[in-house]
Amino acid sequence: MRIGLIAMSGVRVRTEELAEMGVTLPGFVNRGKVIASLPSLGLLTVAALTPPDVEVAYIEYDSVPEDDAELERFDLVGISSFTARIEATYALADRYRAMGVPVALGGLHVSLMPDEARQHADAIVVDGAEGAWPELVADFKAGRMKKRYQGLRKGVFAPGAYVMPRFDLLEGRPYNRVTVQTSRGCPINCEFCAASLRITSSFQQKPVERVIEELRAATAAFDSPFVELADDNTFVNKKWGKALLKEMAPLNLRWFTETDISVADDPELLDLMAKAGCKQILIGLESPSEGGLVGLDPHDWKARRFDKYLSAISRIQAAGISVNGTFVLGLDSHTSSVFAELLDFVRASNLLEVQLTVQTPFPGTPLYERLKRDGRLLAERYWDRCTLFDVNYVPARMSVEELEQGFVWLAAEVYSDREFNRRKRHYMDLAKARNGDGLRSVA
Amino acid sequence: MNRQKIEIEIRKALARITEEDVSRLKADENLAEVIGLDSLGRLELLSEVEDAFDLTIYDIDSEKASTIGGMLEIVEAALIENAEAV
Repeated sequence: MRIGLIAMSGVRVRTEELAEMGVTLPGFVNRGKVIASLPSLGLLTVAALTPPDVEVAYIEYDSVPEDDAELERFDLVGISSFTARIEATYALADRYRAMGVPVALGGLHVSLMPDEARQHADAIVVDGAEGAWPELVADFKAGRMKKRYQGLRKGVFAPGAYVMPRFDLLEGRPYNRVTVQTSRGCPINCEFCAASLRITSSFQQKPVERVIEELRAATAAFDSPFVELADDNTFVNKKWGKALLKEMAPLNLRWFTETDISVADDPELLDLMAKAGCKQILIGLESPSEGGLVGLDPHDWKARRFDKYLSAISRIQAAGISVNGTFVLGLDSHTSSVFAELLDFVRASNLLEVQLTVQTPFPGTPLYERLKRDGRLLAERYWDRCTLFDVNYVPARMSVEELEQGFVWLAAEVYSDREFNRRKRHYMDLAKARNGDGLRSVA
Repeated sequence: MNRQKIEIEIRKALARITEEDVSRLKADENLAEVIGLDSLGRLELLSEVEDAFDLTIYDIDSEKASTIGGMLEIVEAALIENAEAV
C-alpha cells in the first residue's frame, strides 16, 4: 500500500498593486516566501504516524502536474492545507477522486470548516493528526474508512500519542530551513489568530529531551540549515524555556522562533537565547498604539504591555536577537492616521524586520464570527484572499479603499531601500557594540 | 589595498562569523547555499568587514554580500566612498 502526502505551499497576493510591490520590494513578501518554502511539519508527522508496512511519499504541491496532466497514482492521498490554498486543495482532491483515488484532508482550515471540506474528501481529519491518522489508515486497509476522524486536542506530546516527524523524508531536497515544533497553542488567544490554538484545548509543550532529539534529526540531513521553531509562542514558560536553551546551546544552531514581548523582561532568558543561537524572534506587536490593542485578547495582555514595547525591543536586539515585528492594520480602533503612526513607531523601534498585514477574518476565528454577525464581511467565501494582504471586510473607522491605499503607502515606505538600509545599519551597529567596538552610536 | 589583500580579509571575517573553513570557497559561490550564511549572517559579515577595514559601508546591499565576489565589490566601493568622505 502506498500513500501520497501532498503539502500545499505558496501564497499569492491577490491585489494587483500589492503583487507588483512584492516584486520591487522584496522585504514586503520576505516572510511569506520563507513560510511558503518550509517543509510541512504536519505531513512529516502524519508520515510518522503511518504504520511502517505502508509506503509514504512526501510531495510538495509545486511538483504536482498541472490540471490536464496525469497525476501520480496512490492507494490513498492525504493533503494538508490552510485557508489561502484551500480552493486549490479542493480542486486537487477532486482530481484525485475523479481518478478513483480516495482523499483524506486535514489541517487548520479543514478543522475549522469540516462541513465544507468533507464535500471534497472521502475522509477528513479534524484537529491534530495524533489520535486520528493511525485509525484512519487501519480503517482504510480494512475497507471501512469513515468520513471523519477526530484528532487529539490535548496530550499530543504524551507517550502513546507523540511521534517524531519523519525528517528523513526531506533528505536530498533543497531546503535550507527546517522546522521543529516545541509547543502547540498560545495562551494569549488573540481574536484574529488562526494558528494552532484553534486545534488545541490548552497550551502544550514538548518535553525538552524530545525537542533536542528532533533538532538533531531535523538538521542531520542538511549542511548548516537555519532552524525555525514552528511554534506560536515558544517562551510562555520561562523555566522550561531556559532548560531547553541550555540543551540547545551545544548544538551550534542558528534559529528563529515566534514568541511574545515578555522575553525582554528576563535578562537570563535573553542571554541563554543568544547563546543557544537564536538569531531572530517574531513578535506580534499588532498596533502602534495602546488603543489599538484594547480588546484584542480576552485579558488585554498586549494592551497592558504597550508602554514597554520600545524598551523591550531595544533590550532584545541589544542581546543579539533581531526582532521581526508584525502588525495588523485595520483593527477596529484604527483610523486612517494609523499608517503614519506605524511608520513613526517602526522608525523609533529600530526593528530589523517588519511584517505588515491586513486584519484577516480567517474562518473559524472569533473575529470571523463577529464580523459575519455584524454583516461586515465583503463576501461569503473569500478563502483565496486570506493572504494577510487583501481586505475582506469593512473596517470600523475607515473605508475599504482607505485601508487598501494606506497599506500600499505604508508598505512602500517601510520596505523602501532608505528605511531598510537604516534598520540594517542599526543592526550592524548593535553587532559592533556587542563585540566591544564602541565606536558607533547605537542609540 | 589590492584585491587579493581585500579578499583575504573578507575570508578571515567570514571564517570568524561562520566558524567554517572558507579557504576553498569560490568567489562566485552562494554563501547561503554552501555554508548557510543567511540574511542575518550577511549583515554580521558586513559589520565585521567594516571593522576589519575601519570603514563605513553606506550602501548595505546584503543581497550582493551573498558571495565573496560581491563582498569584494562592496568593500572596494566603500573604500572609495570613505576616501572621498575624508
